[in-house]
Amino acid sequence: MAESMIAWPLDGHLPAGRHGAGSGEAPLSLMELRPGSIVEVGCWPDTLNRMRIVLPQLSRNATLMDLAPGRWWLVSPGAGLAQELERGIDPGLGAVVDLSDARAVLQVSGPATLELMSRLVPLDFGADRLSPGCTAETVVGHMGVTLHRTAPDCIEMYVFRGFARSFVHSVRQAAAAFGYRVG
Amino acid sequence: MRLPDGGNSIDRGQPLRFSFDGRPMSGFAGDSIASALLANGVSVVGRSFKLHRPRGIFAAGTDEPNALMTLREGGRREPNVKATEAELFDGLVVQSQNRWPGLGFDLMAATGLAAPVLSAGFYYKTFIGPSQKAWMLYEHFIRRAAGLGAASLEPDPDSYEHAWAFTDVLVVGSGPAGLSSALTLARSGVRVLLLEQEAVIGGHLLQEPGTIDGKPAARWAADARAELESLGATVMPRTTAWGYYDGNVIAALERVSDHLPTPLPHQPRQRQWNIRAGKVVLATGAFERPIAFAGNDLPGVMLAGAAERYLARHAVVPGQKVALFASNDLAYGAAFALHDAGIAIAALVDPRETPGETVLQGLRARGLEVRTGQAIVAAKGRQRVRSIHVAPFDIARGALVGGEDLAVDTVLVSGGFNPVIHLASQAGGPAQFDRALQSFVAGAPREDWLATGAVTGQLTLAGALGDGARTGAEIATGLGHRTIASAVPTVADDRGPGDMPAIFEIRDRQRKHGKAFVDFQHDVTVDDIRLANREGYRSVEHLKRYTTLGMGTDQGKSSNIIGLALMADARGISIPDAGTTRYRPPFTPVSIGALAGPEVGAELRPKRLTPMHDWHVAHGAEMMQAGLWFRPRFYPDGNEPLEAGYVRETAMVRGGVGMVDVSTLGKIDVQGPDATVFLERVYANGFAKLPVGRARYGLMLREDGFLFDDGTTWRLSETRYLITTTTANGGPVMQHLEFLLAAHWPGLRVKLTSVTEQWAGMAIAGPKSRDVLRRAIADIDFDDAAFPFMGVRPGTLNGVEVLLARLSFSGEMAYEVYCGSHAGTAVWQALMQAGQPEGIIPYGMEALGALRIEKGHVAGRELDGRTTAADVGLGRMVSARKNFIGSTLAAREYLHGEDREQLVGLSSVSGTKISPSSHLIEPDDAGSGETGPSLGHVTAMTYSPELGTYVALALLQGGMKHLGKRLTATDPVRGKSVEVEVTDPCFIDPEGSRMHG
Repeated sequence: MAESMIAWPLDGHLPAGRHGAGSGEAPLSLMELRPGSIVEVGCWPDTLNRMRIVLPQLSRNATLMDLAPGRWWLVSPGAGLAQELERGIDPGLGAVVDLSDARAVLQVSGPATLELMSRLVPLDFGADRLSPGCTAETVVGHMGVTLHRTAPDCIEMYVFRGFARSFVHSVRQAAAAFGYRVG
Repeated sequence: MRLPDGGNSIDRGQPLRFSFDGRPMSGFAGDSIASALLANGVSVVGRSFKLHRPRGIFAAGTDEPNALMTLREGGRREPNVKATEAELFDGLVVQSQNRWPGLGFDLMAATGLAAPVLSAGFYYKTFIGPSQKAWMLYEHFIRRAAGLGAASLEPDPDSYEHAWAFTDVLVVGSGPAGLSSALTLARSGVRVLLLEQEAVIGGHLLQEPGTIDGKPAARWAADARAELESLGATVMPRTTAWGYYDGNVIAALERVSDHLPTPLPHQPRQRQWNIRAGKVVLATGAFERPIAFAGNDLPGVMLAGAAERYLARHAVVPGQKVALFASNDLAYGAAFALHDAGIAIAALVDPRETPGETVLQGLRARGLEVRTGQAIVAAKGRQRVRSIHVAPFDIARGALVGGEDLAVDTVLVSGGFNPVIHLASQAGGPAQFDRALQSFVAGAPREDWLATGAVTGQLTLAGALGDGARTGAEIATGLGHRTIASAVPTVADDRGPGDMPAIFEIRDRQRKHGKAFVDFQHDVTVDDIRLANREGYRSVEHLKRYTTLGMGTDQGKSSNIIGLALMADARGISIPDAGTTRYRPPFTPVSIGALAGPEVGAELRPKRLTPMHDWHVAHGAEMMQAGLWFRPRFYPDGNEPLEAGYVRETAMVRGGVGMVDVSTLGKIDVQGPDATVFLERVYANGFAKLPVGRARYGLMLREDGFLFDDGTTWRLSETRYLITTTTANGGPVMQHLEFLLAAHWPGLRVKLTSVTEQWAGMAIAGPKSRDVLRRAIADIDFDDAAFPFMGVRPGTLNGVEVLLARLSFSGEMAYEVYCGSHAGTAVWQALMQAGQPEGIIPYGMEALGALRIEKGHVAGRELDGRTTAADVGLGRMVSARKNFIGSTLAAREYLHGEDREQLVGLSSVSGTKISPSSHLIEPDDAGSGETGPSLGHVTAMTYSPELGTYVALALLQGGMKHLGKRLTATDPVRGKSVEVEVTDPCFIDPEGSRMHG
């Protein structure tokens, strides 16, 4: 598909530059991520063990997120991952659903990331909780969010595409108290 | 008056200006409004709620009943702020409340003349008793006379935040017990969060005369804070824990910017915290308890501890000639400190036989004498105390003999201490009476907390420090930490309360001295308590409601225990037998703004936008909300009114082609080897024989047999379906199906995923829709044979994968085109472009509604949770050959009665508009048309361009039995009645030839 056919959900809603409180180096950085593929994979009660073996082999460069028992997301920069996975996962093993267009993705990083998170989500990012690599389903201002902590100070948030603007408004408003940079 | 030096909380290098009722005044950084007013010699700070009596500053913290102020101006004006809690800042505008024209001379004080009748239960007896009308008449005047401050009517310019915190241990209160507990925990490696409602950490340490480890107590507190922070503990000043909720969740309010004229850029005014703690340490301290005596509400009467606090922290003294009336040893600290500061101590009155040895030493060292076995019977004066009447007092019998008048300008009072058990009470069992304290301590915990320090009755400094350290060590050990032996600090010059006999009131049975108040804020007197008893309002709950004791903004922090004690005495029972009320949140008032947080104005609810939203707006659509979604209502042509617009759009779809955004429909991907079995169980009609590449209209029932939702389900492969739902029910259907799968049929190999947001959807409808699609999509054969009605076909449009289904909500030939949401606008634009030769137009919700009404298709107004499939004419779809959710209860006799309200069409006989809020009644011979029982109601109404009249759908008792009958559709609220004829609900093309092509 031609890139010209695609409209990214946050295009024009994250103006580049330094915003909010303070001056100088901003303690937060916001960026819209534009993954080519977001794919949900599920399996059946009796195929859990098989899927645990198969999925990492199929996922290759994709990021694997563990959402729930027997339910994962795979996220990759390139398009077409859903079709690839469908070839490797037959209905007897599990289900593959393409969600590449269903979410807006916002990445927050920087030293104030966890403090910003305390203004947005009721989650504990303490020492042994939600460590890098962990995923959580949570809520920001009544909007369902799938949250993925990729590094100590880096969190990616997946929100329903339709809520993208309200969501980024909420995040920007909270981030302004610390100061943030886009781009 | 301010002393020339001293004050551990003020910075004399930072003078501040402020105004009180327009009078310019000055203070220092670190002052509270109360300390600054005292420093400026202000003694009357407000008028009482009911009797408009002059009142002065009585306490020094959250227990203040009198000094309620209105702060700031304009949109930031905030009423009913306790002057004892609010911090002073430069330029602050302070106004007193509940006085007119001014504090010194208040016309409403004349109500005091009527005081004998303004007793407990006055409003009930006078205005509610005779008739409801009397109350309606007087309420306005009473509310204005008995008032607090008024909130600003301007929008609040500030923002408020919500935040969450997690900690192993939350310590509430930074007094000696809280600090030593937090220190022990932090030194042991426990994650600690410490809350302090004031700006400065230390609580009672800030006024302690003693030393800790050789340091002044205030210095020790500052060092403890520094150590805590160096150990990684979080210390939050200006944060009040106000509610204790299930799961060890504490609600706390952080006053981020209340001490500033305006919040710093991008900072909120206040922040509401929800704190989830593994364990909670309640080190909430104790409030000093006054003693009731005649004239005890006069300005100049103050709690002894408050005076000690103002002196130690702000170098402020409350008067020049001071009397102390105390039934415990701790209160002497205030008199000693004032004496040491050069203030005259006119009398030390103690009803006990003797104070403790430490006090006696203090007296000897200062050359002061105490009047033991005596009591202050009355304070006298008009705007301020001028004298007191002191008399010998027999504790055992409460009797007074003789007495004398002494000239004083200040009375410091202390009748003991009430543990601050509010949070413990919110999360614990009934409070327990403590005989030594003559007050209530916390009951058994219901949540995971430990109380420590003064809240448990531990009133000495060393005792509180030791208790806190022990509590901290106990928790750290319990959490598996190797406790570092927390060195309990050494305290010098400690003091204790001594004996604290039960003295709540000084009552002169021989002579009247004037009113003695229990609850200052609500003007509840000792006589009101006894009156409530005489009139039968004896239980604590009745007492509270009848007298309004403890129902002010201070929630009776200084008055509840005295009130209970007096009621117990009047009833001749013990205080624990009288019992106490339970404390409820909030501990101190919380602003509505903080509770609302960021969810105000346009951010009240999140907005859900379709992928084509910007296109609609750019093309002039008037948008409307459908749940959280925003959808085009219609696309006005210039100033075109709504009806003209939707009629034009409807006609265009019937005669040409139009396109509508249906991205909001709920969409659920259903996959798995058992997907067909699953659908057979959740739909009322059959799905087993649906071939791949075909869609079917499906009906879902609730368990109780009523209709739940409808929509089409597309079979994409042998094991995969796409369910569509109504816009409103996308979420509820998903929850319903997820629940069934998880709870009832966990063995089914089926996965459900919401794909509502994955697909942009557009319905292209009208006799020319196929021509447009043929031009736009080359790889689909659109012939009837290749792509029949209800067919589903994949294709590509400008390189974008699309999925088409030939469905019709409008009754015309129509297709739904789905594509990935990111490409939604591009595909929409391509179709609009492709449809130019046919004159394609976009249409909105109103035309969509008109088209479906003309066709008799049901929607949300008919699927109202009370209708069955048969009620809306879909009874034949319900399978009798299988079991499905709702099948058993759908067979109930009640759901098959002849006179159920069922779907019919209505046609306006005269061509006038049918009100969409009409009920249907038999035509009235008299012609008034607004009487008679309702036979049903209109669910949806439109103008039908094809029929040239207004038509409607309705639910009518007996339904189609009444075909051809004339009824009156009446809307008495709007005064509209129209004669209608009952018709088939399908007004157009009943054979369906148009959509089948």
